[in-house]
Amino acid sequence: MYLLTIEIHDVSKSFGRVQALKNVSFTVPSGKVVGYVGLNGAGKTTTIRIATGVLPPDQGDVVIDGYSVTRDKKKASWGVGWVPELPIFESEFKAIDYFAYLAGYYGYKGSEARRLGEELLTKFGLGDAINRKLATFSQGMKKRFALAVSMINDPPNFIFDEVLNGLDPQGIAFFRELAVEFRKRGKAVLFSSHILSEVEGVADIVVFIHRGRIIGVHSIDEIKHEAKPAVELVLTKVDNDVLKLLGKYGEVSVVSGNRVLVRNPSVDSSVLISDLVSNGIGVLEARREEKSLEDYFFNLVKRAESGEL
Amino acid sequence: MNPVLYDFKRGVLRISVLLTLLLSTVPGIGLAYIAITSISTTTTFQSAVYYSVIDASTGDYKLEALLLNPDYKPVDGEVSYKLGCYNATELKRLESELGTTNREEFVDRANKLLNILDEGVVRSVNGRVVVEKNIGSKIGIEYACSLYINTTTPFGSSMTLVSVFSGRHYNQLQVENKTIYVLIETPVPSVVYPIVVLNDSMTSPINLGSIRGSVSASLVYITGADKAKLLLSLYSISGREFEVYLGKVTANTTLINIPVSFDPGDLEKYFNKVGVVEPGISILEIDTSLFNNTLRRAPAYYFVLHSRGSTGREYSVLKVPVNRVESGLAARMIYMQLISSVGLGLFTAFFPIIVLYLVYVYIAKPRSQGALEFILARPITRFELYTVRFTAGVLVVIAATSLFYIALMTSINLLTGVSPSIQGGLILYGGLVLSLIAFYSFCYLLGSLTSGSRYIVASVLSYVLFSILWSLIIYLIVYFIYRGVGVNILTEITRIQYTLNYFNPLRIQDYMQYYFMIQEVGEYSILPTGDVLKEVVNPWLVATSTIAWIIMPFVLGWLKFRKASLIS
Repeated sequence: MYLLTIEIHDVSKSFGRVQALKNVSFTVPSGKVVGYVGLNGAGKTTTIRIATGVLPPDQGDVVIDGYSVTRDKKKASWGVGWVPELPIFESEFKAIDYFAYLAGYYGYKGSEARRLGEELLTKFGLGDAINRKLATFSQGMKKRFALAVSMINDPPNFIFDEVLNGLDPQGIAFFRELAVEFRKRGKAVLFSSHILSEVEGVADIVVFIHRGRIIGVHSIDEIKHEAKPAVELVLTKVDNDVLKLLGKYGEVSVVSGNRVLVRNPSVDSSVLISDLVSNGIGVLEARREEKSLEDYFFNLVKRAESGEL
Repeated sequence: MNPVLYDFKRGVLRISVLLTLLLSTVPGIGLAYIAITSISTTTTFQSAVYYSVIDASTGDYKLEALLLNPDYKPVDGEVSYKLGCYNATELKRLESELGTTNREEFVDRANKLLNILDEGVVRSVNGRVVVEKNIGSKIGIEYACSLYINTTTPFGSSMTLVSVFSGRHYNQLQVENKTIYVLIETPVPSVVYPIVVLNDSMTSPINLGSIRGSVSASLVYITGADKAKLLLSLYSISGREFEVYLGKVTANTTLINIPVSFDPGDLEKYFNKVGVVEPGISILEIDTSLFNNTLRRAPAYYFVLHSRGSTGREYSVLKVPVNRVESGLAARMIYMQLISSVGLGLFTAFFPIIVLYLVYVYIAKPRSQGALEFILARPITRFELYTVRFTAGVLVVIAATSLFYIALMTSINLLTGVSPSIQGGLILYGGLVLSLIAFYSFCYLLGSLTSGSRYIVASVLSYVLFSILWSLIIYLIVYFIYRGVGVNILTEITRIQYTLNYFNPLRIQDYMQYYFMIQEVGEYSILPTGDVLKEVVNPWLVATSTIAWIIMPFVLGWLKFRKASLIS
């Protein structure tokens, strides 16, 4: 019995002389939403195209619920749904006709496929557009159509690729809620974005990719924790009394030597410094850091580019 | 629904493809018409039996015609006729007055004597035309009449100048104080004999006594047939039916003779009864066994027509020459036209455009758009996607070709009565459909190697090469190789063409047409290049190149497609 997961194992892919992915590995466990964050061109969509079986990897493999997309593609594809960033269809067809065509690959016959199409398209807000040509659909409608098609067999794993791009607030809320609902239903969900804050409130784990390389896998709590504002101080001495004193104002950690960090301070840094001085502790240097999620992300990128990661 | 069938249905239900299917049916009918028209307007291979009688005293007029194809089978067509009569005495006077000195004026004034008494255009039914009317004019005994008749069938058309000096002339018979103008005619070689009153004995040649009518007869033997045809056009004043007898023939007899005179009671001693005919036009089919295997060499046969009634007996003895006709002549004519550039050539010249468009619709366009990726994300392998689209296109090609072929053959059959054997028909159809599938496969390879506009350029250039420039290239090759060398250029063009055709997917049909002609006509030597074809066309090579043209592009395309990014 396999766990319901999307496992990406050591995947590499090049397009000509450009290496798009280098030994990418991570896992999307069931009941979790994994955010997949990277700058544009970092390799998110390439990873996802390989994970959905539409692009063969040069190296490595993706395993969906125990089935390899390279060796057992049909079973692997059966286990995963996909809403691309820019869904492209043979758009000269009516929505219901194209749905019925694609449902054929899941074993649905003509009238049965159309009945299911009407049901799912209506469920995902396309009830009025069933007989419209796909060419007339907006980006949001195309994504909903892709979602409806991906839900033909209600797969246990789901991949949303930059799905919030180009959507109105209502559309953004719809897909975020959907990802959360999928998590509740125990699905493994991969949710890619180039904006870290987009996955906040949705993702349990975030995988960071930069220039085709995974540069970090962190829980969202850890990221939030890391992303809090902090005051960095260089003191004349650091001992238990000093740490106890600073502990009243926030989470204290010793960075190195006499350098300490007070995260998420409850008071302004001037109040903190005057309390230290009044207790006989000299403050040689003080610096306030205001870190957002994006700062956190860019910091990671910077560290990756400097070779630190 | 199975995705292959859905893709096929989807492919078919496009306006462009529906138009294609319609365009496949209409050309089938159109090409049949063009092929038939090109025969009917160039050479006359048709024949006809005519029977016409004018009762000069009452003006009653009857015209019968039976239109025949080159195999002497009834064929439908259109008959336009004019009945003209003129005062023969006046003509003779005019001739003596002007004939030798001023020919032009004589002809001019003679034609002014011609009085058109009736005319019309009639469409035949089962090859037969019957006109019966009273022309309202009484024709004097000094008059002569001519029939100007033009027929148009799928096998030819005739033109007759309306003039005193042309047309088919009526014979004037004086019977029972009546003046009857009679025109009887059967296809050449034919004979015309009088029908006379039978007294004591039958003689050959008959003793001219009281003439009661006349008969024209032709005997046709289609090589290999089990029946010979006796075509008769018979007029008898009595209007009675006549028994027809064929002179008995012994095997190995080369000269068939009957007694000069014999008793009517001995008729069946020397003759076999072969049928009964009414006045007018008749075709008697006579079992060839009665000719005792002599039909291939005997020059002529004796026939007796014999009738008995209350007013006495009538008879005629005819020595009818045999017209030996090669079997399948009508079919050969049609088929030669069918496989020519105005027949199937037109279809195979233009239908590949539809084929390359189909590949664009099925793979090149969705690939360039990126639409194949979304399909490939379904539970389907890349090979299945590749095969499904290939198969769907092949099904459209088969459907369109079938519609075209059925329309073509049905039209030809309706127009001419000619249809190939099942085996021959399948060979011809197979050639068409395999050529188009091979071209589809080649375009599919191009669609796998390229996409979008690059595919269009590559496929159109391929079409231009294989369909339009091919013959020119072959001609140039022959010209540069054999320039100044004393060889038959046509023969060498054929040799090079059929040698290089193995390298052209659209030319598979040429080989199949060759085998079709062998199947239907027996040999291809009707063309001066027939012997060259026997040397060059090899069934194993034909089969190998056909399979290779279909399989190889498919496989090569797959090798590219299996790893290709499906977004341009």
